[in-house]
Amino acid sequence: MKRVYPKEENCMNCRLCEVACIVEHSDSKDPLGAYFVEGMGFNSAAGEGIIDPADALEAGKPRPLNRISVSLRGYSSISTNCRHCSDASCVLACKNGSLYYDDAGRVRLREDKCVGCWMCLMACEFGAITRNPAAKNVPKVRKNGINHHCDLCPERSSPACVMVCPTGALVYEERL
Amino acid sequence: MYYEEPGARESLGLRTPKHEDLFHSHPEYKVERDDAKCIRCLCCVRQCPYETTFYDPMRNVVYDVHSNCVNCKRCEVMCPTQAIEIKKWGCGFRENHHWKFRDYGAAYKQSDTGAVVLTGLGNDNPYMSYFDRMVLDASQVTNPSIDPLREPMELRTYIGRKMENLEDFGKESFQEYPNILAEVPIAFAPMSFGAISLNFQKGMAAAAQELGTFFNTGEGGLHEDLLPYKDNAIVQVASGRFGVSKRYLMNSAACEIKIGQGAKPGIGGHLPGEKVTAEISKTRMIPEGSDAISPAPQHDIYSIEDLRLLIYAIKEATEYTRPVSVKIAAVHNVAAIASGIVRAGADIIVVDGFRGGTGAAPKIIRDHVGIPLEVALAAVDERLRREKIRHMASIIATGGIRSSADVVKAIALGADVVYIGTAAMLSAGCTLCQQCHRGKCAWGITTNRPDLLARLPVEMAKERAINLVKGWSREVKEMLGLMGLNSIESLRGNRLKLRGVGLTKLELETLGIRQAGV
Amino acid sequence: MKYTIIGNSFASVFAVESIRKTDSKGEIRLISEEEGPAYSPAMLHEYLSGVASKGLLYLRPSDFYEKNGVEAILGSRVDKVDAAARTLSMGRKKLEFKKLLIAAGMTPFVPPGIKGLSGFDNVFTFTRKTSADSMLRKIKGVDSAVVLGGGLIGLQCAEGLAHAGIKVTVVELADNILPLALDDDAAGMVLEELRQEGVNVITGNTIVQINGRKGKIESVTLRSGEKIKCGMVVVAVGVRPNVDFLKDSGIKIDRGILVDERMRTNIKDIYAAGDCAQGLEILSGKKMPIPIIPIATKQGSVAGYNMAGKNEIYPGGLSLNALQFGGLQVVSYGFVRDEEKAEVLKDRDHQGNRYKKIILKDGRISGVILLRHIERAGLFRYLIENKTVVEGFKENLMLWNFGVAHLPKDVRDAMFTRPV
Repeated sequence: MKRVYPKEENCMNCRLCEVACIVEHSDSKDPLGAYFVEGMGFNSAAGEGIIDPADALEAGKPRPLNRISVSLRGYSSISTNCRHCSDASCVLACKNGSLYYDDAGRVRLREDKCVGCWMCLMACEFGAITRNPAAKNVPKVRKNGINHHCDLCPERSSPACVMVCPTGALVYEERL
Repeated sequence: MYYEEPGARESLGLRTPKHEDLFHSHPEYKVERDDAKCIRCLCCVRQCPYETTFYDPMRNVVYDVHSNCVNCKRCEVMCPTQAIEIKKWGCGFRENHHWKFRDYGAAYKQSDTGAVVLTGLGNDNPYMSYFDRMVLDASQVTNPSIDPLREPMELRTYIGRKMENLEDFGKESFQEYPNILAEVPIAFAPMSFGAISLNFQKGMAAAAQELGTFFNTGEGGLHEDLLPYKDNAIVQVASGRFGVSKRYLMNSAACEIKIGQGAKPGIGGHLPGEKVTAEISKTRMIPEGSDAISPAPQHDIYSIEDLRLLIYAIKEATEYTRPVSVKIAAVHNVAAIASGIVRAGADIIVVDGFRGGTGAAPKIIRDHVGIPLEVALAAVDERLRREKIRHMASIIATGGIRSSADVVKAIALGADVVYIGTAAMLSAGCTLCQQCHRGKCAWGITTNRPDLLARLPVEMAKERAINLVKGWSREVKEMLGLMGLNSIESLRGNRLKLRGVGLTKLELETLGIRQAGV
Repeated sequence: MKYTIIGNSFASVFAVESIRKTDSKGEIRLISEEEGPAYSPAMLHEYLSGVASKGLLYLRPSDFYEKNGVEAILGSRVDKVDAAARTLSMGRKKLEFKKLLIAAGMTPFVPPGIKGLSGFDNVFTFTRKTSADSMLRKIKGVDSAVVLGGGLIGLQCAEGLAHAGIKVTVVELADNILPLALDDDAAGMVLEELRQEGVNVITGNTIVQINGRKGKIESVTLRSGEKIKCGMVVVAVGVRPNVDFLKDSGIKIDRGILVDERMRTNIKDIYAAGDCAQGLEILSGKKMPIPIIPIATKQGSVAGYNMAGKNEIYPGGLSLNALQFGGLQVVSYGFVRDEEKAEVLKDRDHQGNRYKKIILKDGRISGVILLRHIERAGLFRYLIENKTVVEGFKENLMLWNFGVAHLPKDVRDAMFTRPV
């Protein structure tokens, strides 16, 4: 199965992968639309990717959140997202079967089922799961947010982050 | 983290410049950001290595300290919404016909510090370009032109000393000299690891290998990662002798003694200790963190005879298997100097014109010392021919080759091959911002900071350098074809193919070309 | 019948899926005491409070059994396994098996010594959907409840009841709540959040008597003599592996069913997984039952693979906890109270009310608590499970933005250059 692999020495911390991810998962598929029309709120960069879902909700309808994120330390950075593991820890930990494998082997989320218990976030060894205060959810757990992770852009031949990376720091390929 | 830069916050509020800031903090450029398009992704903030752009999370604004902007274009290019435009700041300082800001601007800085003003890249003063005053011939009716798409066209050329005569061929007395084969008459100029990034050097090395031409290590030694490309390496021996050993000399296609550099003839070099990282220290064979100083002269060369000793020392060390090159800056007496160098035993002579680039040089020297490549090249070729020693050395022209037309003109003036330095950097994204000496190149070319290095992956540098040279080669073939030539070697020194436009009689004579229309 | 599975929860569901990944044809029979498709006991408190509808409880879509070719015998209790004869009996009915997986789960533990416990209707445990259902039926006539036990189940039940509009008091025998998952500082913060949720907690105490008339609870008496008015009592002091029915089967049992690294019991072709099994714990190297979902599923999955012939090793389990009370999230790993001969890194950010504690032993992490700031928590799991020596970069661990880039290069390469 094709997966996204980071090529760390090429990562220059521009975070266009994050921007591309947000735009790809927006309704308008346009940066200005995604960031402005679909709600201002918070900035992933300002808090180094740490998002308090409650803040986002207070600010109105939140824009999509990045599913890939760059981790920075000094001069070195690396962009990582969901590994789509086989026998993934998050799927094993999910307390009500919201996480499942689709036919292509991707780990996907039943958004209407997730209740945001964070078993997945606790289980994922790669730190690839974030909290998303999505609108489409069980109404009473909205403020808490639900599982959020890479879906490998099912509508594209290659994920948006990989296509946008200016230095080839992300590769989408099959490895053994 | 981005907004924690010292002084950044202050610059948001009322500016209270100190006396010494008054002058050189005056901005040259202005970063204009269309706030309606700025999505606060902060890509620009992260991309600017010159502390120009910051983000204030309290006010959710991206703001700029314009005086730090060098117009390197990185933020402009990277912005995902094209919200940024870099402009010239206002009308600039007052100028008159005599006092141009380019000349007097440095005085402000020097009045603050009392220091020598450093810069990078090549001489940018508005001296006349002889390349621009020369035009090429084309075949019409009497001598048919050649279509390079249909007929073979040869760009390969051999670099090194040629034999005295062919009559002895096959006999015992016949002496053959080591030559190196360049598939294209374009090689990459000497740029040392330290001045340029390892990624860029690797890219050039890989490109040279694929193109069948050469790259030059500069004076900084040969990094072990470049060993796979050693057959395409010209290794340099300069006054600092960094990284020089027998192994180093043997890991090469040819060896080059660097006497002078077009950007700073007559002076040495200085790589500050803070830039001497572990990798550079290993490659240059000097302690980490120590200043790498190249003296102005080679301290064992004070005459042509001394040069001969060094040339033959290298030939002995390489067991006469490598051509030895001598690189000099184009200066007043260049023809006589070249003659001496050839007689001293050099197989290749590199003439570096005053437009040639540098990683760091005093601005005053870069801009005022040396002579144009075109005249120097013509003079050297003419002199060697007249003395019947032209065959004893190949000539490599470098210093300000901007296009394939310059390549053709330089070869017609007598060069065998040209080196491209600045043009190679252009292929890697250089925007001529002239900040090479600061080691923070936003495009990852003249830096070794890991995050900046990542901006120029080796593959990208390689691919783009190959594309540039291939593009130029196609154009060179076209130009050869239209002149009715089918090999680059038939163009060498063929000054009949050049005509001067708007040159004085003396200039035409010096260049050895005729007036257009004659 | 090739595969027989006792139990119908996490371990069983993942065992079925793993068997099917390896063997698409072999017949599977699944026997469970409980009726209805597999559901999540960890969702019961959300079900009780009405946050989650019934549909969210079920682990798999309704066609799961059919799609995977599973013959599900639901509502029948296995009361004896004869390992020698390779049969199991359900009442008078006897079934033969070839390969057996015992994933019978756990049973709630009801402590002896509480007077009047059996005399009332409104005394519940809280591990099964049936008890949640009957609580839902009784909830209308009750305005206050006492929950005995301040562990995860007790507190979640208390929160669920509080959300349903009932005044709840939790009585915990230990000095603090969640003694296995949290230290005192974190427990204090959770307590604060629970108070805001309307849950009152009494620690260092227990119920000695339930008082009432005509089968109707009126109050409970605590060890301290205090009386608390209530109409409902929930006993949630702990769970035990459900292994009583295996007494004379010849299967080796300690506290749970002893299993090896392939989930095999001492008897050939009999496997055990989940809360009833006693598998390897990764930090201590000892075998102990850890009744949590990720371990049950992993064990079930490993058992399934091995039953179907694929060689898969269970690396050992780690105690993991993800708790959520109101707007407070807590994640903890390993042994969080064992600070003997250990280096403890602690940071409490009072402004954001975040808390982070890491316990290091021999340069490796042995316990982690993250409170409110749970981003990228799983990286700690990776470091613990892989026994990575963190001595060289331990100062990074405490950064609030601790992320992948703060790991050493070799660790990053191991994590991200190959498929997992």
